[in-house]
Amino acid sequence: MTDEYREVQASLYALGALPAEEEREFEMALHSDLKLQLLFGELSAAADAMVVAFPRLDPPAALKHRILAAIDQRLTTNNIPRNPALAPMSSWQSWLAWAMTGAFGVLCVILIFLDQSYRQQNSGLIQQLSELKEQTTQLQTERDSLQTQVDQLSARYGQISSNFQQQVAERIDDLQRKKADLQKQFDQHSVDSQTQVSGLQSQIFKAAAEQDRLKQELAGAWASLKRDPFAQMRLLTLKPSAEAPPKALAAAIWDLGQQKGLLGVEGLAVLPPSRTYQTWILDRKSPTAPINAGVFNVDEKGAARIQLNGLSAHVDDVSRVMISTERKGGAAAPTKVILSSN
Amino acid sequence: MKNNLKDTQLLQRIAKQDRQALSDFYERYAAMLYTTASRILRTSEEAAQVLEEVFLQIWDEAGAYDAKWSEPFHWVLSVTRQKATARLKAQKRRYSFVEELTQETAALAALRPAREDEFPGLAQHARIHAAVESLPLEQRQTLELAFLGGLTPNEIVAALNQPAATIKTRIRRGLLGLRDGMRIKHD
Repeated sequence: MTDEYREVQASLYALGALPAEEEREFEMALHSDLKLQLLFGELSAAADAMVVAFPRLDPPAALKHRILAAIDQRLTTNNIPRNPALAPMSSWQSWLAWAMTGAFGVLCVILIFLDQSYRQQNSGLIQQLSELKEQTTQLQTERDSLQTQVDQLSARYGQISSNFQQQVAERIDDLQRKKADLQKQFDQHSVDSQTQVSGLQSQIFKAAAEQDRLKQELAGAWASLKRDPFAQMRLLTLKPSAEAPPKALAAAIWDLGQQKGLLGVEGLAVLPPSRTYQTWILDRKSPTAPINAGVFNVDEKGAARIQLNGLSAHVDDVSRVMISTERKGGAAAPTKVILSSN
Repeated sequence: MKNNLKDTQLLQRIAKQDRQALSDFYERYAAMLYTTASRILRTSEEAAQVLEEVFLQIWDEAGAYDAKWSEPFHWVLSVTRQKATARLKAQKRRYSFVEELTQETAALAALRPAREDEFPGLAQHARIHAAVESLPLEQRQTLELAFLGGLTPNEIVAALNQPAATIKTRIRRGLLGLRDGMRIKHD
């Protein structure tokens, strides 16, 4: 038996529409099933409540008076004292009376036997009825207890549900507040960032403009510098090393544009015929590869003026000028430097 | 003057031939029972006759009423339904379902709203209205044919030309829905 099957039976029973052949079986189930009793009670109340939905009609005003009048008549009839009048009896009537008396006596004996039998049956029925009432009372007590539990659970569920809904609502409010705050902060940061970006972009534009301006100025300066003849000139003084005469002195001037120069020396020793002085120029781009600038000899006073030109390599910028002593004819690389600029 | 006695107390007094108790019981339930009888029989004369029979039976049998088995209203409503449906069957008539119940109810309820003391134990009339009106039409029709028309499930099957399982399902779902609607709204 499924719950659905019992629900159908309980519904039909509550409506008074359960087929007679099922009534006995359902009533037995109802007798032993408290849950089913509770369901039936609820369905029965629901069925009764249907009539509340009908349009309300008042009975005729005279109907109540008619009912009460009928009741008054019944009350009056029940209260009439029974006082039958006595009538004279004839002889056959007297005999009939005696016959009826006899028959009445026999009837009384029969009734006494029947009364005893019925009393025994009645006693049994009363006992059964008493037991049924006791069971009914117990079942109703259990049903009331269950109903109380149901009410308590329902109230508890309602409270829990209410609390949960309140917590959810508070949580939602809290999250919405946080969301609004974050949105506000985000908006503020966005505005600040945009302002900063705009400022940086403005600075970048200004810096780029300044860079362009400086480039132009630099280009102009370079152009002006290249146009200035003195700017192409390099003047260097050479100092003696420990192996040179102490009074030895030299100075050189080099024209970057013309790629030629002039060297002047004083205080040098006169070298033997197998030896010669040789001049070297170092370019800033190739500081480890001295460029041969030619050989020379000094007069009897140790002085000389030498033109520097026709070098084997182009000199972008002069970083150093050196003078060394070499064997006659010169060397590929300086071997003994006696004078050198910084 | 309003009588504050409970229904069971009134029936106990009626059982002791208290005429005023019957008058009070009449004031409390006559309109509801008359409405029910009218709904079943569709004639005011017959409804009045049934109501008279019902109250005379209450007068005669109030002593036999046992509160352990049912509520007083359920008892008198059952008596009314039985008498009215018995008349229908004797006249070989069939219960007439009124589909426009909702509109009719709304219109007449505006004329005279139900009083609380007319239906003790089911105080929330408006909610009951809503619960009944929320039922699907076919469920309400099936419930009324059984409850007020006194038809068995097989008779309803024949009347509506629907499978028996469908009819039983409508009755079960309809009554459970009505119960749930009332209970939820009470909560």
